[in-house]
Amino acid sequence: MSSTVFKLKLGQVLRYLVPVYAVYGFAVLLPLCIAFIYSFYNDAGSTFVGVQQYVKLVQDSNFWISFKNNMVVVVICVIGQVGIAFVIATLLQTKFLKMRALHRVAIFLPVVLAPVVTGYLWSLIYNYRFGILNWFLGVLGKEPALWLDSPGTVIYAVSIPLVWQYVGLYLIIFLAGMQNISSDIHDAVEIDGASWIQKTIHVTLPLLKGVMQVALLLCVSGTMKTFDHIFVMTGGGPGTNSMVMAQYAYDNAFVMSRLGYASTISIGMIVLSTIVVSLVVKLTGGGLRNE
Amino acid sequence: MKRKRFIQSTLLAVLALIVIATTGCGSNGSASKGADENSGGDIGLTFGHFRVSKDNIDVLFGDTLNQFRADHPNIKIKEEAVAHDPYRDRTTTLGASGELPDIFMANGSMILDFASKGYVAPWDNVIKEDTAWSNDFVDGAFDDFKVDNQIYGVPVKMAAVHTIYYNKAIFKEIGINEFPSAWEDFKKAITTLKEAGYTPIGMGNRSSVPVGSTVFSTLADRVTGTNWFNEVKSGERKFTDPEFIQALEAMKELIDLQAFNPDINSIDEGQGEALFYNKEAAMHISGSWFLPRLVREAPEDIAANTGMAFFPAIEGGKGDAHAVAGGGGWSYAVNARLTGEKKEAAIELIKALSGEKFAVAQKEISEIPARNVANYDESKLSPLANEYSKMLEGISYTPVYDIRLKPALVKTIYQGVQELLIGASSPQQIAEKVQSAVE
Repeated sequence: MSSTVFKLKLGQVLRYLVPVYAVYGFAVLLPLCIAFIYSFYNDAGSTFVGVQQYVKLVQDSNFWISFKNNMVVVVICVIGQVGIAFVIATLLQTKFLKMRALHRVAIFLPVVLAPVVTGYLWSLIYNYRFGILNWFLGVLGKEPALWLDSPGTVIYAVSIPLVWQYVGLYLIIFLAGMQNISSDIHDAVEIDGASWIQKTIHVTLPLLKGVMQVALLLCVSGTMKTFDHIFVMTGGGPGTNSMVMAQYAYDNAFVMSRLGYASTISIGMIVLSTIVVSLVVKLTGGGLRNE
Repeated sequence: MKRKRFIQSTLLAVLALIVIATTGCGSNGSASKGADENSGGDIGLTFGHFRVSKDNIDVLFGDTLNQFRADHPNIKIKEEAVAHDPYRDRTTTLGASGELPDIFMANGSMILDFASKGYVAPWDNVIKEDTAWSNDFVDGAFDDFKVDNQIYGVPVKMAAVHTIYYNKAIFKEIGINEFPSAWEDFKKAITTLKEAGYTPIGMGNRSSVPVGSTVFSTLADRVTGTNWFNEVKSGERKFTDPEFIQALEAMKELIDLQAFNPDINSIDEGQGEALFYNKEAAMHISGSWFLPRLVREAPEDIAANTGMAFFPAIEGGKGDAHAVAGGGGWSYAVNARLTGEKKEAAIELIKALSGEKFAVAQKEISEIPARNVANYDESKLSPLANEYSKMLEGISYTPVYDIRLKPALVKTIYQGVQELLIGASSPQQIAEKVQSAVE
């Protein structure tokens, strides 16, 4: 019975969705296809060169440096965003905490900031002369540090704003998930005398597996295409030490005027991101179908 | 069955939408083009430029444009103006899709890119025919816009892309009364400044362009000489030649002396200028465009104590010390698809923006016009500007890397110089990387 109702309405529902699909096709799929086509052309977009650009991409050390940097950012964000968000979420569930709403709002607030604003904010925080971090080091009697100029550490420095900005998003996701865990389970565990850590590891974490998978997926796929923060803070510099794939594609398209190659990089980005994301899905226990 | 039909109709709807959207844009474009050509005598021209601020030159540009409009009521100029930095991006993007305005400002690097794609019209015939207009241009003014011996742009002005602005008071304080005229003395001055607790050279280089353009282009020419550059551009020589590696090593000498502020790569140009203004840095290296800004913005005691100089000669170098990287820089270019009276109107407009009258006015607001002007009012210039224009008399201009080379190569070289600044690569490694970008 219910299935026939659904079938009858399906056509109508999908018809209402036509504008959405049209916009999606026009704004997402079409440019993607065009980029794919451009990636087989030379940099002026005038002659077909086959897979030549792809051969160049595979041999391009700058591209692989960008990919490596991307992976560093992904690892930091997975630990930072998802990890810290989970810890904070469990803390927010405990009974000792006062002013729960205030904490939630304060942690969620950065999520609504524009990434460019976050980037500027943090480049001020990192500033060598009047940044708050170096002021703090000065108070402690230490030498000021070059946060965004040291080639070895700049990639960590530009990752922290990403963590800072999006930790609130995952916090909300985890809080929503935790509210779905029946309080009976918690009560039972507490009667059995489990400590907070035991409760978190053995009860909350397994019950949040599905939510955790979604959070990881969002975090990894979002971080693979990160651009705005790094563009504002360092522009990929110094040298190529904070270059990520999206920044490299931007540089090629709009600074170096190599449109064909920039398209190739974007396609390379999609391929690598898909591989990484599917690896993550595999590692966290095979797909979301069961949920 | 029903489902199949539904899918078909949906697909059709999507297709129709896309077709309407794309042809909609297309017919719009051709309609406006048609209107331009058929509306009885009216000539429509689009003009892409970056003269949008309240700076003197931008006001002069606007006034000239309005005067031209009043003189030619049948020519309708539609301005597509955005500020300088976004203008660069915008024009590169428009160039990538071949949708450039009828007239637009283009720098040498863009001309190089567009000429090879056939987007810009050559000027050689116009220059030959109208000698009254073309004769008074400064020697080499058109050099930046030459591709295969054809000229594709008319210079907007001349610019020196390197000038050391130094604080005379600080130099006196450490016992140097005259700006060093030898490379070794210059290095000694840097060491002394460093010991006295000053940042010898304060700059901002986040985009990697400032140091590459205003420091390295001139420094490299002192070592390699201009001939080497021309030969490397035509492919006879390589960036892995000892000349270029020596140039990078000269740069490295300055870096090893800690001549630059340590946070140079994380701050932008404006923040670098502030170091010079607040006496933290004894020198600031920039182009001729910094001078009007210095006169306007700097604290009074800084402006009064500012001296100007160029890099001294480097022993064993092949370059002329009485030279500075610079040239036309930006030019007015005409879209290659213009024909007939539209093209004539475009040429006339550009002549108005590069003629004698405009050049005199340019000179009087402390700009360096692209043509020789004799009859201007010297009293209208600030003392610093007068001093600067005397300094530039008889100087020869050497190539600016980011104007003469293709954008992709420029980025590689400047990024290399930035890597040198942070000590991440050796001169040899950078030279190899740059050479591989050529191939």
